[in-house]
Parts: sequence; C-alpha cells; structure tokens
Amino acid sequence: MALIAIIDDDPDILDASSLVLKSKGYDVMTANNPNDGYKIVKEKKPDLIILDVMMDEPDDGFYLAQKFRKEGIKIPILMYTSVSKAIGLDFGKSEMVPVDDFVEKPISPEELIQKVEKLMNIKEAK
Amino acid sequence: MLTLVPEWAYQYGEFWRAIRIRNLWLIRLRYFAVVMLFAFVVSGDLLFNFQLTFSQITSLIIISFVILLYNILLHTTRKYVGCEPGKFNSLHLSLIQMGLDLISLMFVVYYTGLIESPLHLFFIFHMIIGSLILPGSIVYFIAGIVSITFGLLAMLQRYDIVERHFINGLYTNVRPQTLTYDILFIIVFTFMLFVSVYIAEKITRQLYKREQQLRSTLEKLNEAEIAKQKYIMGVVHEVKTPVAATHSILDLVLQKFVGPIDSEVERKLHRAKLRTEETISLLNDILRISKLKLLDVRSTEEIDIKQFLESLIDKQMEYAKTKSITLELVDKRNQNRKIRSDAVLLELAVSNLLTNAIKYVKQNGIIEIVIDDNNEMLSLEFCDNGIGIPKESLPKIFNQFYRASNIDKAKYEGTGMGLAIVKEIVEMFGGEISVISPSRLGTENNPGTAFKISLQYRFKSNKYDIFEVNNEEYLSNKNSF
Repeated sequence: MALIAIIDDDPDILDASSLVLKSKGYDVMTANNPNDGYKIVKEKKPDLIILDVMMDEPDDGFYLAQKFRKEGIKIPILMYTSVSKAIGLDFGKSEMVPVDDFVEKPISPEELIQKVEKLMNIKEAK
Repeated sequence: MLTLVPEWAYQYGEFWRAIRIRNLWLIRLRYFAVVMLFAFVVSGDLLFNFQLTFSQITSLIIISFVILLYNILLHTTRKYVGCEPGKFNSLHLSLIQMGLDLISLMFVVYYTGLIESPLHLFFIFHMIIGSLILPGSIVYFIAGIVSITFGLLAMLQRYDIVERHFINGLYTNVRPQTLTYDILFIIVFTFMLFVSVYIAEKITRQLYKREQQLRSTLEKLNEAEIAKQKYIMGVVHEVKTPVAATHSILDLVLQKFVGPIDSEVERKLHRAKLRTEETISLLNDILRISKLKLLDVRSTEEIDIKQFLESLIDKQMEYAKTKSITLELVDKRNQNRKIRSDAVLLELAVSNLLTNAIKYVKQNGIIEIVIDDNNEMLSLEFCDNGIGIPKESLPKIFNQFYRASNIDKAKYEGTGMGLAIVKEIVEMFGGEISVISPSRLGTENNPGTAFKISLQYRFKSNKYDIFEVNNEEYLSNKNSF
C-alpha cells in the first residue's frame, strides 16, 4: 500500500490526518519539524508528502518543498495552508511554490481523501 | 565636487523634486526676462526717449541674446541632470544658473547706470531665489561677491577708470553724486542683499524642516500601523491554528473515525464544533480586515487621469528610453471627467502595467496607452508589441507567484506578484481587468499584449469586500472537520 509522509508541527493535525488516511488503508509516517521531515522523506521515499505551509518559521513549508524539488525529489506534495485563503492569497502551482495541491485548514476528511487519491492516481498513471 | 546638498536632504525625494521644479520655473521665467529686457531697450528707445547710446543698445541686445542662448542650453540639458548628491546634480545646475544670471544682470545694471539704474533691485530678487534653492553659506558668499563687484564698479566709475553709462533720457541732468552718497548707497545695497538672504534662507529652511518632520512622523505612523496589522495577523494565525486543530479532532470523533459515540455526546460535540466554526469565521474576518488595512485605502482624491498618466509616463521615461521605446498616450474620451480614487494604489496598479509593458517590449518597441470612457466607467488600455503571452498562460497570469511560460526568468526579473496586485487593486475600486494577446500592435515575431482596466469614477466603500473568504461555502460544507 502507498506510503504517505505527513510533516506538520501540530501533533493533533498529524494525529487527525494519520487517522483519516490510515482508515483508507494508506501507510502513514509523520514528522513534526522540517528536519525530521526531510530525513524520513530521503530515507523512506514515500509516495506522497503532506506538508504544512507554516511550521516554526513562516514559509518553512515552502522552503522544504523547494529543497525537495532542487534535489530532484519529484514526489507529489500536498500542502496544508492556514491563512492563505482568508487573506485572499490564491497560490497556484509555480516555481516558488512547487507543490501539487493545497488543502486549507481546517481540513475536511473528504477533501483530504479526495485530493490524496487524485494525486495518487496521477502518480500511478505516470 | 562641491556638495551643495543640505545634510537632511540626502535621501529626501521631496527636496529634489522641489529643486527640479524651481530650476524649471527659473528657466521659464528667464525667457520672460529676455523678452522684458528686449522690450525695455526697444520701448525705452522708441517710446520713452531714453536716449540710449549706440554702445548701450548693442550691449543690452547682445546680453539679451546671451541670456536666451544659455537659457536654451539649460533648458535642453536640464532633464539629463540627476539628483545624486555625489555627482553633478540639479543643485549644481541651480548654482550655474544663478552665477550666469548675476553676471548678466551685473552687465545690464552697468549699462543702464549702475547706481543710477533702476534695475539694481533685481539683485535682491536673485538673492531671495538663490536662498530658496542653495545652501545659505553659498548664497552669502554670492551676495558678498555681488556687493564687492557692485561697489568696485561704482568706485571705478567715480574716478573715471571705467566708462560711465546712463539712461540719459531719465534724468534732467546727470547728477554727479557726492562720494558719501555712493558709499551710503553701496552700504545700504549690501545690507539689503544680506538681509534678504538671511530672511529668505531662514524661512525656507524652516519650511523644509517642518515638511520633513511632518513626513517622517507620517511615515512612522504608517509603519506603526503596518506593524500593528502584521502583529494582529500573527496573533490571529497563532490562535487559528489550535482552533482549527480542535475543529479537526471534533470532526474526527463526530465522523466516528475513533469509534462509536453516544447520541447525547454527539449532540454536544456537534455544538462544540459549531462554536469552533464560529471562531474560525471570526478569525478569518479579522485576517481579511488586517490584510485590507495593509493595503490601506487611505485617502481618495479627485484625479485627472490624463495628468496622472502623463506624470507616470514621465517617471518611466528614463527606463523606456534605455530601449528606445515609443510611448504614446491617446485620449479617446468624450468628456474630461475626474476620477475619485486612491492615488497611491492607482499608481501602484498603473505603474505595474506600464513597467510590465516596458519590460517585455523589445528594442524600439511601441507602447500605446489609450484612455476611453463608456457606460459610466473609465477604461485604460496598455497595448504593446512585446513578447506577448502564450494562450495557455493567459488564464493564469493574475494568479500570485505565476509567471508566464515564455518568460526567460534569467532575463526578466520578477516575482509573479505584480498582476495579482494590479487585479486586487482594480477590483478594490470596483473595476475589472482583462488581457488580450496577441494585441492589435503585434506582429508575427512580437505578438504583444494589451491589458485593459476599467475603473468606476466614484468607487463605493462597500466594494471593500474583495478578499473573498468563503465562509458560507466552508460552513455549509457539513462534513468538514
């Protein structure tokens, strides 16, 4: 079964997301800071990365995503955002934000599952 | 190089703007002075029987032509003179102007009678003008030179070392003044020059300083406001994070991801979830307002859009010239109606489009800006024959961080934020933005782009609500956790 890495500094979000994804049969591993997140991704090569946009520092998520891409890691990334939509930011896919999709917090289980499945299907199709 | 810049004015744009405006004003005034001098000589000779000698007439006419000549020279070179304190700048130009004017005036005064000349009063005028522009010490120095030259000439004339010229027709008899009169005159003249400099200099500096204080206070206030809003956004975000997490956990429980629950517990948990939704919606509102405050619509004012665009084009002209771009402003409006808007935001939006056009147009390109009106809206079109935008990129260009696929990122700097901001601002003022590529100016190799924005003449404050927070949509999503 596909392996998903969730990187977020909020243990409750990690817990909730894991629970939802595990219920759909995915294998989940988690990290609560960018460094550990980077390590588990490099080691375990998951099929999908779920990344929080803001961890200790604002933009941490962006930097980590850019770091992955720079190192040629092409694993699809789903990004959790918190304030973007509220303040009118509408991130599109770009070089600065090299992620495949966004989920706005609070996260609905349906949306999360739907977006994860979509990215997985694209990946399999490739 | 002589540094003429007062210490406080180094980084002070307003100061330089004022100097440039005064320089231009002086140049315009000088054309008038040439005409007046010419008229003085001609009408004096023909109408008022000044009885000017041939050498007086020729000298005065030559002086008018010399003034005209150097004025034309100043007028044409003016725009190439910058505002950098370390280099040859507008202030040096002011000093040169003043020097040339005083030399010319000294000649004019000499040929019209020196002490007897009614024109010596113009020296005082020059001292006042000089004090408005140049540092006090320099103007005092100039006043000293003028006094000495004037006194010296008067004395040399008195002892017939230098030839005397009078406007013979003005006097019933040429009065050979006593030495005491001459000395008294020179002393009073010198005194007047210095007093004028002192007063004008003092008032000008005070005004400059007060203006600067006002400005820096205003800046501090604005900075404080921005800091406040950023702080609010930070705090709200910090608060929103645990609330969102709480919401997620409640949702998990309610959707029975952790196991079955009692129906009474479920009802209570559902209430709790609703309350967290309420909180999140409130926090989103605060975020939205803070964001809006950061893009504050501080003041709306009446703007003459044509003048506004002309001054903007003026600002970008240097940039456009580096690529030899033809920049044209076309006014197709039926009526010249002013628009009420926030000048700062409007400038931000319009200059963004203009710099984009210049940036993406090639050497010798064409940019056309068309002002038009229809259906109670004002429209501005920015049309160019630049690199254009590929069809597949068109729908995305207003997204933040997006840059079109044909942009050579190494060649053209940019964050991809510009058009998103333009769109935000235009919509803030109840307007719309659209884009066409290729444009009507385009050719096969240079398809070009045309951006069109429409603006309401009077923007209504209820249009503030531009940052769509889809609370309704989010709240109506019953299954969100």
